[in-house]
Amino acid sequence: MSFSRRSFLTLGGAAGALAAFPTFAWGAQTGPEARKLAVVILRGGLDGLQAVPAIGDPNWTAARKALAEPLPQIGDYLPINETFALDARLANLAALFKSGEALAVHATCSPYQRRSHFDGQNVLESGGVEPFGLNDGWINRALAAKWPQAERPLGIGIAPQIPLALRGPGNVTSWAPSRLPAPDEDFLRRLGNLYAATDRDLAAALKMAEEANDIAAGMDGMEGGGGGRRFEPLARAAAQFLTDPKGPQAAVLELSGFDSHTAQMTPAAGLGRSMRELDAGLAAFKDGMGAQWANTLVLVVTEFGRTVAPNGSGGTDHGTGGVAFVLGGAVKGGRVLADWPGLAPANLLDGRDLRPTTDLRSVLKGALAAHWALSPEALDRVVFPDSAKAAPMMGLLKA
Amino acid sequence: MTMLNAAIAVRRFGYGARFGEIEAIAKDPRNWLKAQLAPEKELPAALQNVPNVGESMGMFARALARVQQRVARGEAPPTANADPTMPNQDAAEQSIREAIRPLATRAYSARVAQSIGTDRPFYERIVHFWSNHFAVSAQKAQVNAGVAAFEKDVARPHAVGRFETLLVASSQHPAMLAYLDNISNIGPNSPAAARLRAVAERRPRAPTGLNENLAREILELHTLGVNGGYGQADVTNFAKVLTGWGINRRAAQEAGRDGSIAALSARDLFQFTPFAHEPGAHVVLGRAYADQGERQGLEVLETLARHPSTAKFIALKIAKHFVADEPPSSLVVKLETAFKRHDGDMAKVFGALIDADEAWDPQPQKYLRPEEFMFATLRGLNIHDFPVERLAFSVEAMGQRPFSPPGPDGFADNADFWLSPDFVWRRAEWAMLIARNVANVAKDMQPNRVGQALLGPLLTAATAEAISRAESPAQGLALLLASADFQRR
Repeated sequence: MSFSRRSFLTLGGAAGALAAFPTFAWGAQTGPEARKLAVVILRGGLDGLQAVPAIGDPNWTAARKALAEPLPQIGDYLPINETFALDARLANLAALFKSGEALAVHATCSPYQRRSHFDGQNVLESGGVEPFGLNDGWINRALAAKWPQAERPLGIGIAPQIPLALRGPGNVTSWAPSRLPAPDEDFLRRLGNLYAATDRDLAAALKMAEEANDIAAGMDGMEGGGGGRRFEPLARAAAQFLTDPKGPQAAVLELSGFDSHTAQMTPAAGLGRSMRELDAGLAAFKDGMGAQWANTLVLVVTEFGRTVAPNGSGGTDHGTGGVAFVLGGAVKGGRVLADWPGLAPANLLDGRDLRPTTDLRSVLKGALAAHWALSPEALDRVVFPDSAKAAPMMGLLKA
Repeated sequence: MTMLNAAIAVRRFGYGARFGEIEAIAKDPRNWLKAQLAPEKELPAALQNVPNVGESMGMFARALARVQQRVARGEAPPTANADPTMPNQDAAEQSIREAIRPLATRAYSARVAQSIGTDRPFYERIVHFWSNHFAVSAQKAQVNAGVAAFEKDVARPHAVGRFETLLVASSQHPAMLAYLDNISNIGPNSPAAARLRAVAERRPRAPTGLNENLAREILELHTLGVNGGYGQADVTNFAKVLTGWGINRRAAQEAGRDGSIAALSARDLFQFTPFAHEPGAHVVLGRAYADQGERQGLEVLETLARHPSTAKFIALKIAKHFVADEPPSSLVVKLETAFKRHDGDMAKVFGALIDADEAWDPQPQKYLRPEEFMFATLRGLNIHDFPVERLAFSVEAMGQRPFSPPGPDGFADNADFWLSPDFVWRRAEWAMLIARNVANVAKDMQPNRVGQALLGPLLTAATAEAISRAESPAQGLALLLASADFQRR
């Protein structure tokens, strides 16, 4: 195996060293302001084993059952190393792994481990330990700690309103296209099901509207079917904000549709579509950042992983351990970092979930320490309160 | 049962529940409604900022004058329409609309705040029922924010008063007189017509005869109903009766010069002009009304208000609006009887509505109009800081442009109209937009709790289950808002 257990926990001191390094000078901005952060929140609970399958784990096929092998029309897994690969619907991300600009942290989870979306997203975004224990978010607190005197908005939520992760004492803003945003496919599917069960008229109207909109999308020359339709422009917008000379330091993006309770091997619907959208959006974001990509850090996180085995409808139910991605020009990429718990039945959490072995806060703290040179004290007490035990993961970025 | 009736009360009779409201009124939902059938003692604080009709029409007059000056100086093309007060898309029209937009925004902001904040939502619904019954529309630029002024001057103070009072106030309101063209209704045999014909060469567009628009719509839409028993002769004669009912232009001009026009009320601006009134007695619905100037019209309105067709028409419209697109005839009869027995005392009619068991059928019969949906959402989720421009944009996207019913018959009140695929789609979009704005923030916005709080026993198991399975609080809330449980009442 190409990863080593706990290897990432042995590289202490990198954060302190990094602070002394001169910043990259490729972009228009220099100094700490050149270091941009984008956080992508995947809502619904991304199946980490679908996005980053552990095909080299000896128990992979037995544990994963019908989900072990992708359908032919999806395409083979894209290998990262002997153990891990990427789903073929994440082709752009795979290219970033190959060029050493992306890494994954596997078997990770926030301190919340009770499988509720609502509570899980609250902990993920607030950076706290318990649901609804904090009223603001870790990204805001990090910004406020790094730039306490700033008068310009330091963060921007690419959303109708500011996500919890970005709320707090620091000056932040939000932006969304002014017209009504198109509802995502997962929401429409659920609404369609609800209408079908409760209201014939509404069901019929919604179905007709969907059909009409599909045609209209095709006429506009918009990408049809394959995804990227709603997330990619938002990702481009985020890059545009971040590369503006007066732009913010951080952008937060949201993407939903990861709650893959059914048929997650469908090539371009449901989870497949959401992964394609994520993939297209990440590529668009990198493209939009241009030269500043070298100074940019992207964190892709979700509230929890999912069950290892498929459920009765070809999907997976709410689980615990999952995957997070770290991307950017300064990332020491091409790797999957994991204190890998293995997929043997005895190793699963509650006999069903990938056991989380890395506190997601360690990943986030390690990334912030390296990228913005935040002090251990700020990280342990302010950005992620009561997180001293979750030591920052070292070595995420190039030294 | 009382929780169920409380949920029905807040949704069918009001603008939906606020947190805790269903429980709070569960002891006696009918009494909670009845207590609202008292007139307001004063204008609610949220509405203090609603522009007077003088300000609204003055703003229009100034904007129009500026455009006319620019046309005269050759700086702008002439308007495409012969009548510059008619809606069209040309540049002059646009520039007038731009000029008066801030007023409409101010007015809509007040309407939203009042609707989502009021402790008397049934009263508010009645006010809005009347302003949609006696519809004026900002589609006519001259009317613009006068729609809100109309509501403030006519529908609100008389919402639970006598129907005749409402009818007179409506028929004499400057916004109505402008919207339905009675300011252009001139007695053909009046001195004014003779004068205007003499100067026709200089003023070719000046009206010199009847305009029956208001007279017809009062008969067809405000009182008797289209099958209420009137003919063309009644329309024509009633139009003659209404000649001279217009706007006091001199008062408006003088007040406009010294800036005090904003203070002018509907009463200040209404004027009966004997000079333009068609002389003689006129026969309407078989009765001759002697020429007594303004009094002649008031007497016709009194007759119309007491006409059995009016009782039936209003009863049916109330039942349709509050209870069902096709209401039980027994309910309509109850309302009609109350209307007749109490001489159009609307407090008694709406009291009969509360008393009628037909109004408490737990099965939802109505599909919320877009604005009802928006108010119920904002009220239920306690959202008071959403930018009004975006709300106006949203409700327009869902098909109900603020202050702009498509015609004098007001906004449609039947599900068939609103259940179009595009509108349903846009509601889903808006539900998601709002849900994303409030979810993930506060614990009390967890969708299951919200569903319970806003729908009580009206939350069905299917919707509750869909909400609890949602992948995020935002999605759960959006499903709740878009659900049939929430969309229907």
